[in-house]
Amino acid sequence: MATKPEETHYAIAQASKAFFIDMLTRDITLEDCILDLLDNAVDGAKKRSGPSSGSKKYAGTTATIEFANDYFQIVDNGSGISIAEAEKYAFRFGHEELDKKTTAHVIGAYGIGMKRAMFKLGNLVHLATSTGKESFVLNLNVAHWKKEKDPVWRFPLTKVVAAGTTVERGTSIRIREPHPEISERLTNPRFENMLRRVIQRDYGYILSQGFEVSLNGVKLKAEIPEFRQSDDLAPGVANEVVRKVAIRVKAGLAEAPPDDTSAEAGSPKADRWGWYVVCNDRVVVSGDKSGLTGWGTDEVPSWHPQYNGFLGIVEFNGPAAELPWLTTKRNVDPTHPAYVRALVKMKEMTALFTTYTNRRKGSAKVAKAKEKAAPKVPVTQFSLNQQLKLPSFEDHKVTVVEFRKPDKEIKALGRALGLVLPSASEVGMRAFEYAYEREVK
Amino acid sequence: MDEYSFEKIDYSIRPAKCVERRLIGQTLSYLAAVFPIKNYRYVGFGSLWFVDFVLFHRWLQIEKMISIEQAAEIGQMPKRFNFNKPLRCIKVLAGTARQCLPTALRGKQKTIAWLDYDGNLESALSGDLSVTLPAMSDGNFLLISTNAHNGQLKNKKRNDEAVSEVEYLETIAPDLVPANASERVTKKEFPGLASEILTNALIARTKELGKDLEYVPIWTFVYQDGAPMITVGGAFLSAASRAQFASLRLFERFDFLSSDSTPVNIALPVVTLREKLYLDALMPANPPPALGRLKFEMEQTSLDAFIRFYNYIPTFGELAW
Repeated sequence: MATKPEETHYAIAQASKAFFIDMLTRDITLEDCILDLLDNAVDGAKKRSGPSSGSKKYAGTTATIEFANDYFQIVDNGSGISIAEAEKYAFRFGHEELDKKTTAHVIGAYGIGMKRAMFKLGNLVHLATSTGKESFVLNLNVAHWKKEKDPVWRFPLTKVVAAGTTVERGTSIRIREPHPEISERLTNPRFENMLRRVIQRDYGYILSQGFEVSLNGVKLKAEIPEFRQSDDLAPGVANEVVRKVAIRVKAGLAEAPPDDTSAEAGSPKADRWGWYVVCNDRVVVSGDKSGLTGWGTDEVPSWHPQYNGFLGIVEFNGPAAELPWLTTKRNVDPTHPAYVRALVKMKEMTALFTTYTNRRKGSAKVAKAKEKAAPKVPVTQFSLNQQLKLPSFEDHKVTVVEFRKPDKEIKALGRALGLVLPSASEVGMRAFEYAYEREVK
Repeated sequence: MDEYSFEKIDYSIRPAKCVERRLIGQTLSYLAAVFPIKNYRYVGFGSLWFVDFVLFHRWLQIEKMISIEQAAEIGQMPKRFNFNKPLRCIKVLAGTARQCLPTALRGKQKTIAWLDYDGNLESALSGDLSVTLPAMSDGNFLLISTNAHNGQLKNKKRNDEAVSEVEYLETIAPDLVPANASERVTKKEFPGLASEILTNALIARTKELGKDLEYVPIWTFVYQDGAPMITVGGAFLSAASRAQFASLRLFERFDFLSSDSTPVNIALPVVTLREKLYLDALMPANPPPALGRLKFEMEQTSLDAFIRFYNYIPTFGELAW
């Protein structure tokens, strides 16, 4: 089949609606979509309260999340979306160009979060917004819109008030007809509890600065990790700047490492330990114990339960488009220059800590006493450079004791000692201490 | 051995437990209009008395019954449990619930299972559930009873540090503990909290089976014959069965049921046999009799409880052989 040489052939590269509605939504979890909507609310709150800093820069701003089997809703009292913003770009899929000029330290950067979240959640979208001066409503039936043949993709705005609106400032998004798999998760009691835990942790910095979030009627509390600090120990802090991004790396001891590091030792708090990555106050990686944050690379060993109690935080602050986060805001780009620079410091501090946990084995009792005596200080209180400091002590020889006992008796003794889901090793250790305390001391 | 409610008492004379069994039996006989209950199998912990077995056989005509008995496994009294079987159709399986449940729940036969523990919430949430839930299918019923004394939350330690009540609960029931739990670990509130956690576990873990099945709560009882106890129970239903279930309007019919995990307290009035017979003769009472017109003094709450449960309150008497 010969073709005429003068004829140019084209391969179509246009986007399809299905790509945004059905495909892009597969790359993100329901909880991350909800956080995307919450990010918009935070940005709206930031815009409303202005560039002011200070410890309560979000005071007076709120977001209310509610859901049941048949709807999902988020309402904020932030700056709202203006008619011009809506007409030009707020509802476009992606910004015309990644906006590197803006200096705003916002969370929204890619122009995809809100739309992706709406598509992920359900079929009927009702969005109402007001800047305090102007207001509009956007109603969207996603299934109908998907079938529309209009070559220009657009959503009709209704109830448009261009000046002097009486609608209160803020934005509300209500999704009805949630997709079956979404409804299924929204009604799982584990989901609400998990979402609460995640928001309290990942928005801890933001909540602690006055942003109020309520989830199905429960006001959420900021969860800010804490370092132990005393004359014997203190977290390390290092500040750096790469281009427009301010980097702050902090690491230290948050809790005494466990006595029992055997394989079967349960540690319900284990997900708290490890590295946290924070971009413009939003936690994007939490409790990481992988190569992403340096574990198992170069001089840093791979994660082991003996490091439980280690806490590291790396904060990036700067223009949204300059930060190392990915569009889901649930991960970072490990090749990003700012992140590469931070990683060097992170590994240095991690290695100091892991060495310490080996050293302390010979004097675990003294070490633990010093660690537990140190008061807890919220990580947000540390900003000036300082060296990571860990307790020192002379070495003692230790020997491993091993013995066999019937499972039943081990369980019964664990219960009698009030131990929570203990491993056999922990029961053995406590039994030894119990005897030592009474017969030797 | 559990420290909270190992009461070696005759299980047949616990009045609140007795009322609870009858309330459950009553509900199931009503459910028989839609679900062929008499062809079901009943799996329970019959102990030496088999009280629930006798009741469900008489009221519901169930003929396939399995009792799981751990004491037999220990080899203490293998003959005694079989000797005490009040009905020929009861089969005693020897072993822990964890060991016996897979056998007891095998096959496609519809089941009513009652895991009637006297241990704490931690044991109720334990491995038994992970062998029971996968065996549940459309139209099955499951009940779980457990001790609900808040003492089970105290003096917990891990890595030499005190573990708070809520932390402990979150360890044994990850992401199933409600936000207001810290206000509900009191002696008075813990039964309600434990019911909610257990119900959450059943709802969540049923969804996580990935079947077209939902756990629908029916019963949430709090009672106290000695130690405070709870029983939560419900049905595993497909979408089609949920519609049939709804058509029974069960929750309008019986005020002792709970469509969420709000507990119904089986607090029975202490009345003498003479008083009971007198009050019975005034029933059904609509409107309820005025306190002042009764022939003896009575608290309003006691009278209300009597009116609510009179059809189910047992009479105990002394027999001389």
